[in-house]
Amino acid sequence: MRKVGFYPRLAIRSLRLNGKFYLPYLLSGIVSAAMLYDILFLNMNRGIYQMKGVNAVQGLLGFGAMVVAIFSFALLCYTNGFLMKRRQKELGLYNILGMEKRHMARLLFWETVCSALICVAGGLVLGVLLSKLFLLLLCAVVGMEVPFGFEVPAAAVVYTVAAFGGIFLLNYLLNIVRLNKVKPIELLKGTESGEREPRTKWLLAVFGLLTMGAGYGISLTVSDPVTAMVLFFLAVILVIVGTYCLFTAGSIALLKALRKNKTYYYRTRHFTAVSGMLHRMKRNAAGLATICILSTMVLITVSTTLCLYMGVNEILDRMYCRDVQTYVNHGAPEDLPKVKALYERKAAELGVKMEDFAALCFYAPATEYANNRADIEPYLERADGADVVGDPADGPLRVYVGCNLAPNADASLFAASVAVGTSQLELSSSWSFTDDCRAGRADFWASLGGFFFIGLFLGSLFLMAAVLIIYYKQISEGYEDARSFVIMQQVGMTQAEVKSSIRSQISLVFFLPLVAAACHTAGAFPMTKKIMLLFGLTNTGLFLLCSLGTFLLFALVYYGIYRLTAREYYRIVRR
Amino acid sequence: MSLLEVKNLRKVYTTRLGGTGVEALKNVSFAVEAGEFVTIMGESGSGKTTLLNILAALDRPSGGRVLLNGEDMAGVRERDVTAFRRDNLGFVFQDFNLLDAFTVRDNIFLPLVLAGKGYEEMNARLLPLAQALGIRELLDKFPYELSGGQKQRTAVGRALITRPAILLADEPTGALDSKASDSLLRVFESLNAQGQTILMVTHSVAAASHSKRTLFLRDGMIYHQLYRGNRTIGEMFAEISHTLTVMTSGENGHA
Repeated sequence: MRKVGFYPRLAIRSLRLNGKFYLPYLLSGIVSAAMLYDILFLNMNRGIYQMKGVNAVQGLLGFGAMVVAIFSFALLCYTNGFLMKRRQKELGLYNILGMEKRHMARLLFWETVCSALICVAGGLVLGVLLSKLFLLLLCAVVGMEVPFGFEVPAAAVVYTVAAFGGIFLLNYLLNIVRLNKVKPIELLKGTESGEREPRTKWLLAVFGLLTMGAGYGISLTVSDPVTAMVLFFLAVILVIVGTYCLFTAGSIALLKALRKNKTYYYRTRHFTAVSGMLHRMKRNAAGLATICILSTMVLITVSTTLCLYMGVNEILDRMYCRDVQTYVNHGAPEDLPKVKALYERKAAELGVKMEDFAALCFYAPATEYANNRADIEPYLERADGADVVGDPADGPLRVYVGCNLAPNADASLFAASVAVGTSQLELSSSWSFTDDCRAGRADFWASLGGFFFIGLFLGSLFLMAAVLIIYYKQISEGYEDARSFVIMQQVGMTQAEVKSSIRSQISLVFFLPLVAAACHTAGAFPMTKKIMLLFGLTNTGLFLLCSLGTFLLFALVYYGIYRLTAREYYRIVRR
Repeated sequence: MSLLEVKNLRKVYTTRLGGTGVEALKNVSFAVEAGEFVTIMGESGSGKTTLLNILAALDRPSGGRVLLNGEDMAGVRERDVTAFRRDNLGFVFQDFNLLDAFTVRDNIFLPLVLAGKGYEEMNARLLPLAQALGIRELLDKFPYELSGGQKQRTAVGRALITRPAILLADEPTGALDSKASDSLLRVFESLNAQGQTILMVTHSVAAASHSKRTLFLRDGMIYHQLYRGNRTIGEMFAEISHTLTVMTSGENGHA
């Protein structure tokens, strides 16, 4: 009779045996579960609910949680597919030893249960441990006070468990489908079957070139910020499609062209590298393209959000002219004294002292969205005490009244009473606004901080995914290449030649996505720069600096990963 | 002077923790003249592979010497060994050891590319060789598109393109069916007739009966040798089978 718990124990054993492959999978599962929990925690934390300027941040966090969940799903599906491919031989052996497919399904079920338990439990523990740290980070970045206490929102736990349960269930179903499709002899052969050489797909290469060109073209030619915002996602999709096509078809076309050039191809260094790349491009092109796109995502997300955050003071400085300000659009000159009087009356009623009081009427083009400091300051300078500036031919008349308040004065109360007051005045236009700019600043600061936080958060998630894909790629290639390198040594390749050939191959495969990502980021620069204008950031130098800094940091991390995985690769190949 | 001389060769394998060693080769001496076709026969564990690995400079002997063209292989420096092997020895393996990523042409070119030869020269060498091996039509195919016999002939092409002094073949028919084996052995015979020296290691009687001389290896020693002389392949087959029967039934050697 079969012992109780045979399959669970077998499942645990096989997880342990395949540790080299499963460990990174489980680790990334744990980390993504922790990240999902933490972002949900921040979204649901009651402590921050009660704070000012938090609404914008919370919306962002909700959006971030969705991205994390979808991304975790894609990541774990990809990794799981890779793992199953590697384990075909083992499963084939089980099959030959008399395990039926339904038994294997049971084994896979227990394996999935084990990995799900490890990932969810580990992820929750890690998430809870890190939650306070993330909260501190968020509060620091957003400029909020840190709420006291420590909480574990039940809803965050439930959502995390549900999301990851779903992901693992789906992975299990995919594995069953995979299992049912293969025959035992194929299971045994697994990854070793000869790979047909990829055909050159010119059409796809040209299509990739066109889409990529279109994406870059949009970025380089778009002239105004609003259009840039609208077309940004179109450009992103075009470039993603182009990247996949060019990596898959373009690389093969290029390598084949290199192979045709006999004097180039038949050199020790190029010979193995070109043919090896050609051989593996079919399967690995998609992986390389994914790494490239993830890298680009990290670079753009982090550099833009970092730049906005760094430039927040500059933006705020340009945004608001005074602490409290009122405009009347399409107004009349006789409105000015009424609003002026209202300000003085309210200031006296509330006992606040107005500083830098400014009041004037000016004619400005209707298209000009004239309530930023940058817009109003020139008129104030031109007025030099006069009440009306400009020519009616310039556009409709606007009335502007504003003042600064002492730091301890209650700006929101003052702004609110002014706003109530204006609605009771009989103005020539009903189109009037009163801004509490201090609250506006705090709100804006919080949302840019939130952007930055989400940028960092998602950036590190994307980075983790890129690392994982790179790691698995290197490992699987190591196992595939080991045999080739033994043969080459037998045929007369020296150890040193083997090493340099490996190095040139790895570095090519590694740095191709990085270079492409740098190109994409540079290509997107004109467009992202325009979008930054929408946020009021005009400092191109700062943006350039942030982009370069982000890229350097990223390249450093990337190089570290390269060194680590290259070492692992050597170890496998050297056997 | 013989092309290849093996004198009092010994090889002892010791386990990593020390302890007693296993003596794979005890005292092996023989010589191969230029233009010979020699087979070394023996059961598994007789030391065949060890011997071949030492001849191929893949392994170093514990004692004794191997001279190729009068040059002691022990004198070749470690970092020159690969180049030495590439320039003097050609290899054919049981499981072909072709690279999947290369076409037949590029597989054959591989050693020359590693030696830094130009394309024109490689091509000039390839065509007559491919003609002789009957793989001229297959040059642009990939290994996975070939039959076992075609793969092995490709491997022979790769071994011979460097014009090695000696062709070392390790169980070349081991993974082939009888028809492909026969055709490969005929290729060997005709190469040998053109002056190529061949040293083959096998335990297949059929393969051995094609060679001009057969050495029998047992328990790390040369036990016996047979010259084919004017005998037909059939007669040689019977002779070798008889020798093997005697050898495995445990009589003392009389070589």
